[in-house]
Amino acid sequence: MTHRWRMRAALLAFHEGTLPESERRALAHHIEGCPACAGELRRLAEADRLLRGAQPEPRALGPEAACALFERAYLASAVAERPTQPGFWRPLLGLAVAASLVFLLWSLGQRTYLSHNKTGTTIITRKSNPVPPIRIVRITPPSKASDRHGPRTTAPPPKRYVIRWKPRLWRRYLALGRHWHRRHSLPTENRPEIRFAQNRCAAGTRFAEALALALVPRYGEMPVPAREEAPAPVESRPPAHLFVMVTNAPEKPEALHVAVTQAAEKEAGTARVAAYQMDRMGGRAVTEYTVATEKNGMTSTRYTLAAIGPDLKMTYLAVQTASASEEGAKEIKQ
Amino acid sequence: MDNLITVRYFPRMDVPDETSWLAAARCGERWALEQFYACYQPQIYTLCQRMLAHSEDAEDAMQAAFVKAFRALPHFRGESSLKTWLYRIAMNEALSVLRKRRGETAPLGESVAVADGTLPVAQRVAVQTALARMKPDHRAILILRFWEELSYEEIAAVLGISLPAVTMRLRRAREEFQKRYEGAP
Repeated sequence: MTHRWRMRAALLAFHEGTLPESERRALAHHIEGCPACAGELRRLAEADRLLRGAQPEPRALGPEAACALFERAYLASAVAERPTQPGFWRPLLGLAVAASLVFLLWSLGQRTYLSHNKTGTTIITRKSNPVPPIRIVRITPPSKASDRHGPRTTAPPPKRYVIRWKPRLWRRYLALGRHWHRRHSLPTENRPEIRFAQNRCAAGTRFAEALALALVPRYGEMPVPAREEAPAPVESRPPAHLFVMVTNAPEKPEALHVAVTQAAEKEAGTARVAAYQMDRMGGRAVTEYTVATEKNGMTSTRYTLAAIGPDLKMTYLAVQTASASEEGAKEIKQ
Repeated sequence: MDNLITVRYFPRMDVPDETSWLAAARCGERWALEQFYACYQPQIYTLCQRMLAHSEDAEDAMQAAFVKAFRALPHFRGESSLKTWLYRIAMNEALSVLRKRRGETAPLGESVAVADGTLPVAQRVAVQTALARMKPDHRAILILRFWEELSYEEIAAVLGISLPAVTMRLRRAREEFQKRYEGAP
């Protein structure tokens, strides 16, 4: 410790009054003849004066806020469920850890097989034999001679994929699962847009974008009334906004609905938001929203396509034309 | 008929002696925890408010501190006073909030009202600005020493450091404060 540090410590102790009496007298004598130490002492006193002088008033919570905070803290601490004798669970915890270790060691010697059939069911079996490396095998029945030379008389057997499960290849399994889902699980009857989206997906396009692009011509062909023509009745008026939601989070349809509604209201200042179709398709929820916009007596008819991913972010994909309502046409004529 | 009567629940604000409720509080009795809360809530809120200089942050830190205190009360061994034990929990919560804020703009106090009003407003603002820009540990020890008026032993118990470390940290905190105060515009 240098002399300067020792002097600072001594001066602080002198200032705090914690120095022994003999040292205090000696230091006081030194300070009288040392302007640097006297200045340092003055700076200490000034800092203390500033800090003590700027002490804020004690602030208090209101009684209701204090009570609410107590309730929250009490509930969060879950003291009602807390055992009165702390530490009783420690032997149980040790037993649980030991049981987990035993199970882990046992399961390491096992192999897990995951297989899919056409109905989408998953069968998990365990075998103790070692397995060859991972690969996908398409199982097809042996062809018959009659099939080669003539029309097939019987229905072809369902294709089966056998995937041997290895945790390190989970990304590949995920991609395979998506592929399988797109190709085999979506109901495509009377849904040409889904077939179109599947074909686009096979070409490398994302499913949401492909589905939205498929829906653009479908709704673009709806009649849009011209300004000079008589306005269409309200029932047949085309939707002002069309929101298409494609998500991989089917467990949160309400949250997605709220997100779409809020985005629609923010975008269009809408008067009403109508969800007229909601369909679950094996892990994907597809919802189409129509939003009619009415501002200052005019009803704008625009088409907006948007896709929402699992992160609840909306991506606009297409926006089409606008037109006027009956009141708007009257105003324009005037 | 049951819905006609609404009972609004408030904890008692008259605080009896600590010994009358501490044992029950350690067993998780609600009435005793209410006494514990009523006894120390004003001090803890003031401490959090002075440390964080923001009402909402102070409420959050105080709530987190009481949650931890309610959970840890059965393990309280009584080696220090209940006040310093609770101060330590609250100080840790406030310091964690301050450390999370590092890199953000340090908020000034919502109010520069002082207890005795000895300093002019400009000096009060300069002092609080200097404190807001200091390191969290230095700010904590200055607040404990000058605003909470704790002794060195109590500061050591609250911060979990030794007495020489308190002296050293207090000296460094003073130096940083002087540097920040004199460098403030």
